[in-house]
Amino acid sequence: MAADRTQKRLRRRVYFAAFFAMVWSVGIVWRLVDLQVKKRDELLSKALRQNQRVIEIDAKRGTILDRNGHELAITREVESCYGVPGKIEEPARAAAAIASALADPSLRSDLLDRFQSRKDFVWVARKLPAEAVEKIRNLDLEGIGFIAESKRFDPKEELASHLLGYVGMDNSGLAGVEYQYDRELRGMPGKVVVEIDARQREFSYSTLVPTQPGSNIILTIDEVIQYIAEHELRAAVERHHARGGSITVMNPRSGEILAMANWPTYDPNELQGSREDQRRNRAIQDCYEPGSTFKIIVAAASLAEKTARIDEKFDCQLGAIEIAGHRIRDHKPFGVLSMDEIIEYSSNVGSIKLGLRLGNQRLYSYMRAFGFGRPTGIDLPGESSGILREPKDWSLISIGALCMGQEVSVTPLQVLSATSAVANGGFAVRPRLVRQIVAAGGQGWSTPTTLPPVRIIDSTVARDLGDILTDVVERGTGIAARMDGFSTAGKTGTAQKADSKTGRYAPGKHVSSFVGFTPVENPALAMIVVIDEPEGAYYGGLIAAPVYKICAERILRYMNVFPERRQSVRPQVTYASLSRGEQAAYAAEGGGGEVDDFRPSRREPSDEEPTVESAQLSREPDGPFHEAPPTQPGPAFPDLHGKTLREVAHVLGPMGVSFDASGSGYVIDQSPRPGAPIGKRCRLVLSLQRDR
Amino acid sequence: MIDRRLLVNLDWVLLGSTLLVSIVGVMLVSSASQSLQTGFAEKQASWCAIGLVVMVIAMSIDYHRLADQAPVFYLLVILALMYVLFFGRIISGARSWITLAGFRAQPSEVAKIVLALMLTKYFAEFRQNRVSAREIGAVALIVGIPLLLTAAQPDLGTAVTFLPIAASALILAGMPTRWLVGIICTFLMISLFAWFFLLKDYQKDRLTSFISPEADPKGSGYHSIQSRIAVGSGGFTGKGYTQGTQSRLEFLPARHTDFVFSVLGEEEGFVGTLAVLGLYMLIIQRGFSAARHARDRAGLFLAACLTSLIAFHIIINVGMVAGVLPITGIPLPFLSYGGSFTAVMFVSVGLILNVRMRKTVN
Repeated sequence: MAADRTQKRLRRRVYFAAFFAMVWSVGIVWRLVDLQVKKRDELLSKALRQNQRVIEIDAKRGTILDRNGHELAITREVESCYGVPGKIEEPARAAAAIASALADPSLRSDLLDRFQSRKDFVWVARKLPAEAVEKIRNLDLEGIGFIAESKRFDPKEELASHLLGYVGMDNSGLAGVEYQYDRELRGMPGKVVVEIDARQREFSYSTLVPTQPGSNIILTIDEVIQYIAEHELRAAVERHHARGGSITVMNPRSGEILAMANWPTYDPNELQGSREDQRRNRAIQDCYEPGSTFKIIVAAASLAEKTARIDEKFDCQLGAIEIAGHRIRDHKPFGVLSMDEIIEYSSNVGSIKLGLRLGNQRLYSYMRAFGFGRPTGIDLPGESSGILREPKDWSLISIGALCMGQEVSVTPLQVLSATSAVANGGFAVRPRLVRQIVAAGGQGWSTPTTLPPVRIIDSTVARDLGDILTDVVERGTGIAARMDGFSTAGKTGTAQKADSKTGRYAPGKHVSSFVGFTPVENPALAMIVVIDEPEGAYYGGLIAAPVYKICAERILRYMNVFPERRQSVRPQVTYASLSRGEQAAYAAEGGGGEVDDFRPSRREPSDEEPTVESAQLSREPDGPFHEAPPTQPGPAFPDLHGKTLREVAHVLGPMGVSFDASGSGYVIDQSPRPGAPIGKRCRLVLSLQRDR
Repeated sequence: MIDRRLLVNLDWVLLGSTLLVSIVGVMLVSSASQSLQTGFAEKQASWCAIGLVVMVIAMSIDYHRLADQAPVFYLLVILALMYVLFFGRIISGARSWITLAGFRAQPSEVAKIVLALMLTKYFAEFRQNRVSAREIGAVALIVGIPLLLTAAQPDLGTAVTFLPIAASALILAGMPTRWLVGIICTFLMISLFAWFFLLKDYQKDRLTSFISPEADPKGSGYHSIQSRIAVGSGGFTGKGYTQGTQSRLEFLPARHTDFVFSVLGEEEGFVGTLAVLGLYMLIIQRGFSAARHARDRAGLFLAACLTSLIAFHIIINVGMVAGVLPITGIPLPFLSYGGSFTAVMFVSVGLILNVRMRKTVN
């Protein structure tokens, strides 16, 4: 029986052990509830933070086109070189070899550091030229690879470079239209989710947000007019050994900029080697004293306020007038001049007399109305507003100085806009550069909003002013701008440059300018020519007016504007229709030569009748610009076999193709097959494997 | 070999739960080894098959005969342990492997079974209510020799698992309270001594980091944190089989061996862990039940010691995965990848079934 009792005791002890196990299991279940139910969200987010990463893939940047659809800035695929540090066998040798291939010895130690890092991926050099890629590829180094990236490329090099601006390494616009319309051009970057393992290797991508390619931007610029302006500007600057210059051509009705040329210039593709002054857009950034061109405003105000009649005689006091104790002289002594003659011969004394009749306040209000002292509002970044002080800050002689275009600083574009108001019958003009923004794929486009026209001066005043300015060219200071077949209204300007150090006028440094519009009735263009610091002769009538004439003649001929006075039908020439050699010849040809030698355009004569109406209306909406830029016919899936996921993402991202991938390593299978057309909402499914 | 009558008393519940957990184990090893070379799941499956064979052998021989041969087994194991100490293959830092006819095995795993049989043999004829110093000394000697040999490999984790066998045998035999207290005190003192003089810093870190793993998330706390994240992020229903990101993306360390329960928690969620824990509780309960219904003392001791051994592994491992016990290299029965260990666990179940089958015979 004792044995039996012992047996019972033993069994009790077993119960105890089982009970202990029970208690433990309850405890552990409680703990699991805590982890898996209560703390689940917190721990899940920790897990996601560890194993997921969202990568942004840049969208394809939109193309910038001229008004006729010629490409000015495009995006190209170039190759960037990267290294996988773990796979590089001899980092020191590889770094030295690549540095010498890129001809940059300073790169060696930097590359070595990168190759010896613990990262999985390092850049070697980005957006390399093809020959550099070839050189590195020929080194045949283990662990060095290439990825396609997009790079901005301006196929026309310097052409319109100040307008277009440039983009940085990260594909964001840094200047010009590239900057101003960066949001539109850039599109929407796509997002891809990548799984990351504990060793930071990337796995199975899946598209979160597909990339949206940037919109294309159609400028108001005409490539041919831009070329003519740049070409003639350069010729003029070189002829006069000037420091620089600027020509802007505008449609005086719509404010559309047809050309904006600046010298010196630069090639956006070679941004690295360019200087700041080469990149400056003088037409909107440089301020200068307008000189006599400003007399247009004085005349306009006088006529509008009826303080002077057009035929009213003024005594110009043989070229000298005294204001607040200062003696102001004319460039040559004039006797009695009528009001229109004052402008025609650019008499300072006469202009001051006109101004004195208006008084400070009225003169100032017209200057403001014509747009001085504030930005014109062109859609370009960095526009200067110039300087126009308020009357309360004026000295006693300010009114005299202002009437000669001194004590005021303006940009060429401001003067051109003011002149355009005269040309279009009295409406303020807001210059603009973008005609249309076309969404990628051609669906949907938008035109920048235009403001309702604001009248500054009466149409009769504008017509009278036009007549006066026509006389300036017909027989006044602007006679060098006179051309066969077309009437031109314009005004010369010559201003001394202030020395920024002394604050006084620098002797022998001038800004010569000419602003005008052609033809006077129904102007097809308004243009300003500014030449900075010409050597020798410096009068605007001698330096800038001839440039105006040459440019205007060529542009009007190109625009098919029918001459008013003499019938002459000439073949149409477009820059694009010229062969490369001919373009070079065109470029080499001296300023102002004939274009008759050139082969006529292969284009059929345009449907537009060569009449004055169609000339001024030419290139107005309903032209070919509303059509979507040509899209490539039937895009197809590329062959992705053997590519890594990172490479795949870079290929597909800009195409806007979504994809899902399984596995890691290299693509071994893809569905749909390569070459299959990319349909809407098509998803690509990729299989990957570690070994090729 | 197996009497028809014996099959009547076969514990189908214990056998079924064991098989079920083993199948889950093979699947989890398969999922956990996705990112590793292939073949882990296949190997684990074949080990389970070998385990089943040896289990059937262990069932079919009367446990009395096995216990009678215990001293022979014991001697062989001691020799094997001494052999590996000098000639064994070093795998993950420990010299614990022996190669026998193309098979590699760990004698320290086999020692678990042999110890249970040896203690069974020792206490089979013990008729007292309480053990005395003599019995305690004997048990200490029997368990101490293989324990020290295993600890010297060094494989502390496996060595520690010998203790519950000894403890359960002594408690069953009737441990006087003062002895219990004395042993616990001695154990504590040895622990303190070991803490200050024997254990290396990394070992100490591993033992304590589960309390505040965030103090060193990349070092000693890494296992603990990653295990919690994996288990917790599984939530109630889990991420789905083979969909566990933490294990697939290799954040979870030792995911097919010591931390296989984390994979279960991540992929099958609370539902999965609860189900597997339920199966484990069933195994433990059936094991102790076999002990209670044993025909004699030998059967009771054998079943209780082996059940304690299995339960100890489960308690320590799941406690570690859930972050309530320190990180020790103790695997989880039937789930963790490992040949010798799996086979030994199957033999343990086989012996418990053995005891159960023969509860009324003769």
